Order: sequence, then structure tokens, then C-alpha cells
Amino acid sequence: MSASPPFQERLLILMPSSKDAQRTVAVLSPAGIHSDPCLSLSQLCEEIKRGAGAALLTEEVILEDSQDCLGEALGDEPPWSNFPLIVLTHPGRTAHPLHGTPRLNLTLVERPVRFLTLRSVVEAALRHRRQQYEIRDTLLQLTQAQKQLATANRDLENRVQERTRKLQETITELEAFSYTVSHDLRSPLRSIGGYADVLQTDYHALLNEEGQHYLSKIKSGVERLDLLVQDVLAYSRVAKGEIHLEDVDLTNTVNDVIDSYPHLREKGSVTIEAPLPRVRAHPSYLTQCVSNLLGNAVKFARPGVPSAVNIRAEEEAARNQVRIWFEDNGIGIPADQFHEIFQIFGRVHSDRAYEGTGIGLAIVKKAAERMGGSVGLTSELGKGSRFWLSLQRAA
Amino acid sequence: MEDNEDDVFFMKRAVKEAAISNPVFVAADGQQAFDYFSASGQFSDRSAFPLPALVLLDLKLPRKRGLDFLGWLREQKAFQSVVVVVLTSSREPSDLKEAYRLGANSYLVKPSSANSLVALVKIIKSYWLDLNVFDSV
Repeated sequence: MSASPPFQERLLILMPSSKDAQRTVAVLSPAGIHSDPCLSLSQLCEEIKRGAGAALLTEEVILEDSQDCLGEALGDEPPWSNFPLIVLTHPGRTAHPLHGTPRLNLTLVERPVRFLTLRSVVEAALRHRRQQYEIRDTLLQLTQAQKQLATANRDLENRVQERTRKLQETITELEAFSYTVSHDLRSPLRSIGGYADVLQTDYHALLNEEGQHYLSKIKSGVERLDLLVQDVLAYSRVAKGEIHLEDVDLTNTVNDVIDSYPHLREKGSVTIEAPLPRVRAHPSYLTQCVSNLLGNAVKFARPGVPSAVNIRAEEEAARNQVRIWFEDNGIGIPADQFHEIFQIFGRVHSDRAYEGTGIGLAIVKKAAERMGGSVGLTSELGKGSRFWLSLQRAA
Repeated sequence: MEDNEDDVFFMKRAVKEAAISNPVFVAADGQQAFDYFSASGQFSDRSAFPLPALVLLDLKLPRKRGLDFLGWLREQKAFQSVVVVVLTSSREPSDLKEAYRLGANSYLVKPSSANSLVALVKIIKSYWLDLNVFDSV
């Protein structure tokens, strides 16, 4: 649809003689119908192209249309347009030349024509034509609306992309910041701890019991802070560090961790349901996960009950993953905390009751996710917890 | 080589506790170390400032990174047998790789307590100073 000219509610008339045409104009005019007589068929076609409500013509005129300019004018119509033609016929004729033209909106009226008949036919045709223009205008509005929607969508898309980019920038800055700060905190911490050490060792004789006591408080404060900083650093590394996945022998990893932390076996028993399958993982992250999970299993023991940890694996064939279970007989975790404990600093107990930084499980979760896996748990308060770590199966 | 004066204090204390009698020189930044080895500026008197057999290198130095110094050192024919033990707080895998690639003889991580540093320095003494055979420089 190119131009959108307004609806011209006029009737085009083509009769064999101008007298006929004038008479018809005069007859229709009192009914409020505006008519424009045409002198030839080619003129009529021109006027149709310019825009009109309907055309009234006689059969003889059409039969003289050797160039088929009427067919051409009607063939040029846009999809919403269906130009009404009213043709006055002679009685007795059966065949009609125009019937081959596609999408014809043709009304045949037999002569002699009654005035009322002619008027009602013309009015109906003009009304129909008016409705066609209304459809055209509605379609135009629709297209406009669609264009606006597309533009709005594009704008929205751009804004979302921009915001995401900015968000990503902020995240990167925060991660770099936390890494740098943690790193830079270790040096002064080392100094504080170092001087406390020196005082304790070299100036032992000059300090009374109280002085010694305060010194050990300083030292334990420094140690706790250093652990915290190390854990934040470990988290940053796991979150942002390079990751290379390879096939890892889980049994070796678990045994290595147990060997590195003798207190695990001292505090309780650790059993492994061998063989543990091979998994696809980043070796140092996997070691970190195992040592955190194992450490927790042993640490949160029930008073008076030596901790017993069982490690086993089950295949999740459907997802091509392996789920490793760390089952303990410790104090358990309330169900409403299941989500919390994997958050940074999400702790169930204060660190007076059970020492720790509150970051360990957040590191496990992050590491697992970066290796394409996941973590979770089930637990019964007072009975024990069963943590699981799902990872991709080795090739 | 160490720029942090607290760390210098702890190191000197450790050296004393470990009863290391060899002379010890502390370079406060990479430029000083560079000048010392190339006998330039205040260090032009070789008899007053002899070439060291063992260098304990901290990586976090201002003005010329520790690793840059190591790279330079190993390129000098005269200093290729100087034993360089990296002693740093950094556990970064990238620093580790780079240090060995540039020719460090050993990589040690600074312990967190002053007394563990003493123990470490004692071990450095028994291994590098008592057991290790140095090339004459």
C-alpha cells in the first residue's frame, strides 16, 4: 500500500450518449449521490485509478473495450480493494465478457431499470467501498503499530545488552578488588603475627602470665583473619581462575586429601566404598572440594560420638554424571538452612561453637559449577548429613 | 632481596637464630639488586661488595619486579651459577611457572609465622650453605 488518499465517495458513470449520462446524474443526485460522468472507457479507467466509490456503465461500452483497459485498471488494485462495478444489461443476453476477470465485484442490473433499484444498488456499492477504505486504514494502523513494537523491542534489547555489559564489568571489578585486597591483607597480617611471635619467643622472660595471654589472643586473632583471607582468595581463584578439565582418578584424590590431613583419621574413621569412578574435573579444584567436604564431615561431630564418614559414588547415567556422597554421623543441618550454607559466610553455628570461615561450602559450590557439576545435601538434625557432589563422568 | 622492612627484620632475626655467619646484604628493590650485581654506582667496589653465592629473591619488589631481575641475571654469563632461591608470599601458579622458566634454583613460600621462618632459614642454611657445592664466582 503506497499512498493513502482519502475515500472519494463518487460514482463514475459511462453511458453510450452524454444525454443518457446527464439524465442518470440528475436522477441520482436528489438521493445524495454525487456522480461524475466519463466520456470514454479509457477516461473511466483513469478515474478508477485516481480513486472513486463505484462505477456505473452499460454493457455496450464494455463490449467495445478492445484493449481491456478495464481489466487492467482492476488488476492493478491493492489487496484490500475490490472496486464495485454496476453494469446495466440488455434483457436476453446470457454470456458476459467481464466474467474472466479475477476478483470482480460485479452487480448486473437488467434494463429497463427502476429508479429505486438503481439507487439501492449504487448506495450498497458505495457503502461497500467505504468499508474497504476503512479496512485499508485499519491495516495501515496495524502496520504502524507493528513497526513501533519492533523498534521498541530493538531498543529494549539494546538496553538489556548495555546493562548486562555494565553488570559484567562491575562483577569483574569486584572480583579483582576482592582478590587484590585479600592478597594485600596478608602482608601486614604476617607482620602482626610475626612480631607477636617474636615477643612470645624472645621476650618470654619479660612478660607475666597476663602478658603472655594477651599475646596469644593477638596470635589467634591473626590466625583466624589469615584463614579468612586465604579462603576469600581461594574463592576468588575458583570463581575467576583458569579451568582445565581432565580425567581424574577420584580414589587417588580422596586418598591424597586424607594423607595431607592426618587429623581426619585421628578425629574419626573415613571409609571409602571403592572403587570410586573416574571423573572429569580440574584437579586442584576437585582436591579443594573433597578436602572441604571431608573436613566438614569430620568437624561437625556430635559431642561424645566419634565421627564416621562414608564416601561412595553412584552413576547418574541419564546425565552422564557421577554423584559422590559424603555421609557423616554428625550434628546434622536444619532443612531451612540447606540453601544458606552454600552462601558466602552462610553459617549455621557461630564460629565459637565450630571454627571455620563460613566460605568453605561456597567454594565447593562455585568449583563444582565451574566444572559443570553441582552440589547438594540431605540431612537429619541430630543424626547426620549426606552431602553430594555431582561431576561429569570421565570419558 | 626484600622491600618490606618488617620482613627484613624477621629475616635478619631468622638468620641470627640459624647462626649463619656468612655476610648478608639486603637489597631493598630490584634496581639496587641490579646495581649491586653490575657493580655500578655505590657498589662499584667489588671487595667491599663481593658477589653473592646465594640470593633469596622476593618477587614483590618495587621498581623492577623480582622476576625481571631473575631474567636479567640468568642472561649474564658471569652470574649463571649464582644460586637463586625464590622466597615469596605468592603461591600463584603463574609466578611459579615463570620463576622456574627463568632459571630459579628453588621456590619457597614464606611461612606465616616468624618462628616458622626461623625453621625455614635453618633448613636453607643446612641445605644450601652447608651441603650445596657452589661454583666459584
